[in-house]
Amino acid sequence: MSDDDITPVEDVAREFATWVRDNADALVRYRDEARSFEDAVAVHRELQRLLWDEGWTRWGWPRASGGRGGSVRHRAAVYEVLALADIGVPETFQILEVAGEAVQHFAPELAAELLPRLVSGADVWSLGLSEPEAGSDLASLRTRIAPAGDRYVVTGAKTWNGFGHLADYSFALCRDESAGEGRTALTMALVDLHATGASTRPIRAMTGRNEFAEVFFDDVEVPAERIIGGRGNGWNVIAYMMQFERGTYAWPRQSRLHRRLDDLLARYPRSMAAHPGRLGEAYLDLVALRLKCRESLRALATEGGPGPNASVDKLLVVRAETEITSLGHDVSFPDVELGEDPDAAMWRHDYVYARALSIFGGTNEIQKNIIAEKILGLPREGRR
Amino acid sequence: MNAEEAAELREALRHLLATVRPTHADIASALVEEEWLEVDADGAPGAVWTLIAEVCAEELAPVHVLDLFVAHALTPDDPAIPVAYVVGDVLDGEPSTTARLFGRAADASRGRVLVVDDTRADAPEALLVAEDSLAQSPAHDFAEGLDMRRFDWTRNTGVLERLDPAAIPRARVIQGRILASLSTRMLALARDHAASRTQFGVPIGSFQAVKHLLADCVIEMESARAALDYADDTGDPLAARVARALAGRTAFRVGRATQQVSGAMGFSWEWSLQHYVRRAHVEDLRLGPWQHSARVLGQSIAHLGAVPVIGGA
Repeated sequence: MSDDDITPVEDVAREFATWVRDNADALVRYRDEARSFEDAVAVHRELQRLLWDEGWTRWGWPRASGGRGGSVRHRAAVYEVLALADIGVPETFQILEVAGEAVQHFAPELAAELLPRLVSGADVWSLGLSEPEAGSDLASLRTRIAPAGDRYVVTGAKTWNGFGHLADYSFALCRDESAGEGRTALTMALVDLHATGASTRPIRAMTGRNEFAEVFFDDVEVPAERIIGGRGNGWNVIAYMMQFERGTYAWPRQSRLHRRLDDLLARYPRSMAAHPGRLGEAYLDLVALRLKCRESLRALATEGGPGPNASVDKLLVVRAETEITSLGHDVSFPDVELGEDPDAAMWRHDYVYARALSIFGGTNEIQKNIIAEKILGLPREGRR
Repeated sequence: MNAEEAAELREALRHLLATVRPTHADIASALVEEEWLEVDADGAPGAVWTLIAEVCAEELAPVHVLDLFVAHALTPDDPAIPVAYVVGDVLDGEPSTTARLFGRAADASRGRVLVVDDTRADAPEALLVAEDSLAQSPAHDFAEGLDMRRFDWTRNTGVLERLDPAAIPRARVIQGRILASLSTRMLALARDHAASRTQFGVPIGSFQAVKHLLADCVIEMESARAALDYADDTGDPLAARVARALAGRTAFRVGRATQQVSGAMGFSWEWSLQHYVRRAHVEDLRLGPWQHSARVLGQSIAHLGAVPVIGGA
């Protein structure tokens, strides 16, 4: 079936918005509100099932993987309809958006098997990059993978894995000493967390929620077909993923920020009107993010991605979200610290969560190094 | 226009700027005579306007490109006619006490006033007044050679003419391109300095503290450019307003960061960076300083009680 048979993005958005309006009563239970991480994931998995069965979240994925075709723009349009309707975009889609296209690109057979389960909420995935001794210096990671007959064995520990304690599978970027040297000694594996030797431990975050986890691999067996992109290709897989993490991740977040600003305007009209300059600047930050991200979506859909320019998108998300949640904090004072109602809890969560944005997915500092070195061509800092 | 054609046009325009006497009137006349000031069939400025805006800014040419566009939209035969701008609240065609007028040196008897009614982003935003009532006074020449004047609004006794509503967003985009080009030049100067200036035995551009200042410039410039491109493609008035404000904010931020990276050189009169910084300050006044635009946007959003969504996935 050719691309001509695929419904245009604008039509999908319009049809989905109609469906959301027609089903508003049934969708109330999926409203964007503060929940424990575990409850949020459970509720969202239910929503994922519904959206998959109705076909909406099948847009933007290839037919071979259970989708209806189209591009990342179709997915973005669906997420936006949800966010603007004040329905939580499923949290697990964060991982889907980072990893889904990479699995599709590097391991299409695996994608055909597992993507439908991931999108429909049957499975939860996690992304294992950071380690206790390897954060921003990711290439120094120590988790090892080694061949063992026709399979592989993974040993080591990952940390700060979003969804780790709830996940069925975790990507693990591993050192593969017999595959190459330096960055070519890295291999990406998709590890079954129910397999013998795998264990997880949740980590409670500043939000009070178990936002992430430690994941331990004690000689965990991995079948050969779960090696993503081939041995020694792990760094390229990560680079591919990061374009999406820094690009498409931003789209649903900015959609949601529009809705969150609407919420502030409805709840604190006088305070908001009293600070037009600050509100206007927050809007500038939001539109800057949106229109830059819109370009990146188009690049991802047609030209193979924005490359290092995706770091700009990530930094724009951090800026807009920090500004808007700070504005929310300041106009809702003292509710954000002391309020017990669900709306106060949501602003409290958003305000605190913004502290994590400038860290995960590559810190602000790493993103700026990428921009300075890859876009401006400045020299790398001397390494001892 | 493909990349090769654009490069040729840029070169031709640089040649024009280098050979014509450096005054607004002379450059404007040359642009008219050589038929540069074309407008597309739908009244939108063609890509050539972007090119003129960018090259004149890069070259710090003493020409008021926005004036050319506004005047051209009204009187294509006389694009050299002076234009003055009102910034601030305008009520019933007359500016309130908070409004300020300025423009370039003009023979007041034949000048025009572009009234930017900036009380609300969703209100009719501009009209043009045949002008015969402005008293002008000299202004400090902050941008060197732009020859600005301050005006006192007395009373409009001229004929009200409405500018084509589509022309105002286009004007904002052109002004945004001018500011964006100034940012591009500032960053290029500072980037080259950071890559070549050696201290402690290494280029200062290898230090994170320096890199991050310049990376911040890229973040600002890329988002302003994306917004300008969108506004250019769609003619969306709100997007044009936002894009213009972003370009202004960007130019100020890039000016500060690039001067910091450039050290004492950046503060010297001799090195060209400060000329771009000054130019950006004056260019940001036209159509309203970016902070003013941000405040108007905030007022409008508070009034609407909802955040406008620009552009779809």
